[in-house]
Amino acid sequence: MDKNNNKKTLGIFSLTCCEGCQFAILRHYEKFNSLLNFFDIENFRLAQENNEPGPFDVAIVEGTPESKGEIDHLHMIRKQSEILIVLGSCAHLGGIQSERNRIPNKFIRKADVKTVADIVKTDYILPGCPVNHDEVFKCLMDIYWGKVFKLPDHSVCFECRQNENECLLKQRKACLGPITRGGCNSVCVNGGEMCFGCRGAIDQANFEKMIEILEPILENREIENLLSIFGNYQKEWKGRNNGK
Amino acid sequence: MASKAVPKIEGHASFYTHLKNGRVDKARIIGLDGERFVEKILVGRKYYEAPVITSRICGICPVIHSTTSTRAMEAAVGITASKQTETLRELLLCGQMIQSHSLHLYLLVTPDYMGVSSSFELQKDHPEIFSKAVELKKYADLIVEVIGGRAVHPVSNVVGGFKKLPSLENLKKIQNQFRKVAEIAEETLRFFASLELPKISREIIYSALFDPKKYAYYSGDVKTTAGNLFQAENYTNYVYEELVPYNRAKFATLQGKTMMVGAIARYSINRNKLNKEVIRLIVKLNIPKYFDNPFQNILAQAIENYHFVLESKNIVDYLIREGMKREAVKEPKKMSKGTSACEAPRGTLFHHYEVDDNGYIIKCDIITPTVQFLPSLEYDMKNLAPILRGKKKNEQTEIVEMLIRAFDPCITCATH
Repeated sequence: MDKNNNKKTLGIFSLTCCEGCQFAILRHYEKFNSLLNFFDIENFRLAQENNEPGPFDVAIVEGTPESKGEIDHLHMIRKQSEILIVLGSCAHLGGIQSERNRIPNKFIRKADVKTVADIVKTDYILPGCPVNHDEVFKCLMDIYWGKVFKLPDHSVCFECRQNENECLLKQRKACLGPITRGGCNSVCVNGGEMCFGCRGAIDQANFEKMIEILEPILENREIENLLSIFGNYQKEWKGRNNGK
Repeated sequence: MASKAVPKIEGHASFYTHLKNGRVDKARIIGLDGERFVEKILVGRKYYEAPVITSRICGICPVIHSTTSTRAMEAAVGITASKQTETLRELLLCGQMIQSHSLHLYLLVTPDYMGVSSSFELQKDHPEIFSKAVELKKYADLIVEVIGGRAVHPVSNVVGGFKKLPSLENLKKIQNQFRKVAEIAEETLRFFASLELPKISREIIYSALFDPKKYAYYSGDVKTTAGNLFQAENYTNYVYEELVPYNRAKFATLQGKTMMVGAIARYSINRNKLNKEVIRLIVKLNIPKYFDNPFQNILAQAIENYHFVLESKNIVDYLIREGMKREAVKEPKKMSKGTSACEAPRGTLFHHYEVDDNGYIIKCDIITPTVQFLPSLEYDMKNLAPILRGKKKNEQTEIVEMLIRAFDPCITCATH
């Protein structure tokens, strides 16, 4: 495989965030290594010293652009890249920091948090906080072979039942599984925790019904909080469905 | 001499040093990550959301944020964690330490000393070193995954206890790795002890958790080499956090004095409580009892790496021997305030919460380790002058970057 002359170039970039998604990419080193047979990593500040300015066949961006410097950087990345992939909840939904948008401006003198898609055109989304390692590789390999990568369009519940977890909602415990996009192998529920909706809503999500289910379990204020841990799920969902 | 974002550190930071007449008269480290106001966005959220959100402060050390946060929140809502919960959390932290140290040591630091520019090159040129990093990291990930449910941003550990206990089968998986991993950790220590570190020295004030009985990392009081010994609740009287005009990262001092936290501080304060096998090896390798060179933080991390591999063995053996019983997650008893301090890979981490009668957070304060050592880092950048003198510009940049990497700053933590 060493003589692959058709390698694509890849840049992995990070804006303001926790960088956990980059570590999630690096998690299985052997797998990451086999990726190097198909991609030349030309920019990856977390792991290497010599970083090229581009152009790239594929760019992966995590985090939200906060400063002018970061916004310029994002425009630069877009300009230099054929395909731009949004990585993780921050870039996709706004992340935990987007809670700031709900706080009155007089407390925090800073512009609202914007997602990557608010600023530049994007091609693919890899959702999750952190992202699913396998999904990242599947997406990159699909791109390499010229396929269109598609996210699963079923809810977390679908996978959760396959994992034979007891339903939290049936035990009168909160969970956002029914409206959240699967693909994470219901990792949180497997670990005993509820689904916090980090992967955003599926296309056919029914928010009204979800809130109706949660109302006997949680206070209204808690429901509102729960639906916005990693960004405003409902707003993103509406924007996506009306935009298309 | 100014730089773009320093490669191979967690988060974005640039530095600036000004060499004049053979002296560095100005040295600055500037965090470039945007502020996320984590302390502010927690206000108005329910108590159980604190660990979920604060773990997102950092992708390399989410475990310690979530654990410190659960402990502080438990103090605030009047929950006393069971012995079993505490043991499991200690194991989780062992995993965290090995995860962070092995990643930092091998993938970020080692390339500097082996004359390669990245871990990918390291893999090509020195596959034997690289494979050690992979084994250690895998072992640590396995611990966090088995105990916490996920390797990055774990889920099972919540306010009140564990929502799910690890299975015996999975604990045995960890146990099966011991012998191999302990060997690697020992070799790692030997390898890092053999590195030629740049020499600068000064008297450093150290601050770390202290427990008379053991090598403290999960609980204990804070001890400093300036003669302070205080409980976590009183941290505001000792650790002063302030904003620096040119920086998004905050700076903290020990009552106005620069201090050092992290592996080097823990080693210098708690050395005699390390695992006996580790001490034996340290003596054999002629490693000094007390460190006065910030570059030795690398060595201290390698020592801890070995210690925590052995510590994790003890805990897993204990859990398998004694067995675990199912415990319900404890419910809050009162609503007031609470503080907790734990040792993160990079140093002492403070979380403080206040909650109202309905369980909603009204105040949150987090002081991260990086914030506490950034003033020291600037100070030591000035101390580099004798080494920098007469070198070419790119060599100078390299040396300053090596120092920054030795401190192992986490800028995403520092700006949070």
